[in-house]
Amino acid sequence: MNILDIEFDDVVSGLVAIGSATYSYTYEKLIPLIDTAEFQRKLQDVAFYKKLERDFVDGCVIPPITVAFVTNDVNKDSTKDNVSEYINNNINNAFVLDGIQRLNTLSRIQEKEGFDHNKKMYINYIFCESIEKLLYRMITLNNGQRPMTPRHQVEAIMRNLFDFNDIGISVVSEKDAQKGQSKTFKKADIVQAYLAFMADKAMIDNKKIISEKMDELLVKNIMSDTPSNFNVEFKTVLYAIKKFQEKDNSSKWLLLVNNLVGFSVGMRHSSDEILEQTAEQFSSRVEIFESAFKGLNTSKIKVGKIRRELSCEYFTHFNKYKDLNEDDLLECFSEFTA
Amino acid sequence: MINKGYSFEDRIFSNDEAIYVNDESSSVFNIFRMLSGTVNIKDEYSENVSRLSKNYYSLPYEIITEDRPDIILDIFSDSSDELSLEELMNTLIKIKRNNKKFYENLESEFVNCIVANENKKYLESFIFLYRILEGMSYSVPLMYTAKSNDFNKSFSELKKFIGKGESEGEIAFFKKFISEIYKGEEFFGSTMDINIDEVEVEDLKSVYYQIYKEKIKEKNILSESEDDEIKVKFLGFYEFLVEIRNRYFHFLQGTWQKYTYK
Repeated sequence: MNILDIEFDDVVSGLVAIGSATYSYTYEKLIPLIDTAEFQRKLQDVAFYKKLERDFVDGCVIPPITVAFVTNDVNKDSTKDNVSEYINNNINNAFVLDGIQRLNTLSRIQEKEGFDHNKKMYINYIFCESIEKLLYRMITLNNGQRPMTPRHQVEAIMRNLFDFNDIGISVVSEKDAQKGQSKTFKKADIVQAYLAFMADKAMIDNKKIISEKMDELLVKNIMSDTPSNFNVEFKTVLYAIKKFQEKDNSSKWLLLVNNLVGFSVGMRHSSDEILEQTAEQFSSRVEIFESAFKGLNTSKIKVGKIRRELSCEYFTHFNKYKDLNEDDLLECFSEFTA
Repeated sequence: MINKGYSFEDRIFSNDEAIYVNDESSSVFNIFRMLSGTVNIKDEYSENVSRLSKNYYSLPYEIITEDRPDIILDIFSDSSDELSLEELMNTLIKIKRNNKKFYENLESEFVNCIVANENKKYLESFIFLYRILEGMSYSVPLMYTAKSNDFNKSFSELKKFIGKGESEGEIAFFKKFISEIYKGEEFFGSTMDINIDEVEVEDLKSVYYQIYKEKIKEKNILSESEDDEIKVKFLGFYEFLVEIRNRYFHFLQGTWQKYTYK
């Protein structure tokens, strides 16, 4: 156990410290603190914690948990050494303010093969003389944590981590969109493509299910994947778009959201093969795709869905389809949609 | 015109539109519009008007807050497909004449089911829902197969729905149909959630939780939080409905009873 830094919290008038400890220390010292009744109660969302278990074993660093002490012995004037000493002597009187489910998961994987007991995790300590003030902190920590929707999270990441100008494609938000602006993507479409890319699934939008349910399914899809499988970055998809949009017909084709989504998912599986194409080659593939697509007997009601599924199938198995002519491709399409 | 004892008021479309619902509109449209929650139903005797508020085409259902034609369009739109009202009407108009009698019978069952539900008479609503289920469990798969483009395939499909055991009835037939046809759809992978947190008496939460846990087969539960929520798999919920119905109507005879009274 090691204290890294301390700071005084004026709101709850208590000292706050951040420290690190190994998993085995946490297991030995903190898990006994949790009331066993509480511990076994309400394990929320089993699937989610199964995933966390796996991540633990694979060596993830979990977000810090928060542990509290009600005491006067540690106060504004305490040093890191004082704090450290106090924790060592009084750890049995601590209680876990936040992170019970994480500790719960930790206790379940102790015996698992490959779990590194010496890996470090971070712990927040709060020293406070008033129980009410701690309660206030506990309530502010544990409530208001309505989960962000996956869509919302993707939007946040995109806003902060992608510079579209730098990549060389033009993206505007819905309200700035003007009709007929060429080679300009709608932000919402890119968000959709990114989500589909993450979920590895073309159909991520479905009005037949309420959005809350759809989000649940989406999260399930994304969580069933292991991050180490993300061999292709979404940036690569964007670079591919930049490369191919040079040709007008390709650009128009990619601007259709159903194509864009299918293309993005396909890129996850065949990025090398697809990027080998020159802009000219890609442009003629798209033309063949379109002529074949026109040959399908699709009612207006299903055309969007089929377009999305087929563009996904086409690019996912790009090598299989790329050299086919219009008629052969149409035959493959009809078989796929039958 | 036969007096049905109730009449519809269309909240979205007006007289000249093809999917307008009134006393003369076809039953299939009436059912369709009732399930989308965009009409009112007036009881001709009591003159009570029920304003339907749930759109069941967005599973499990969506509360309608504003009456817009988009509600109807969205039902048929997939992803970002833009469908115009005109295109939709042209498609719908074609089904108007099919299976008239069948839809007429179902219509009054749906009226009873949905109006009871809106008025929070859930048991009554459930009974009609079950009647509907029985009424369509045989017909819908047949209608589906009849529309097939390839009769060769439809035969093998039909064979899949029909169970091997002689005792399997229409309800099991319909279940197989749903799972065979829709297993690839997103909604098939979604869950129906029983929210026990809505039980107002704190002490009864765990009682209800236990009851549900006993009546829902373990394999049909996707996830659960104790005394709070049970997420039931889509088709598992169908089994659960059948289970409730059987227990409700066969309270004394069933061999399933744990305790017997002498």
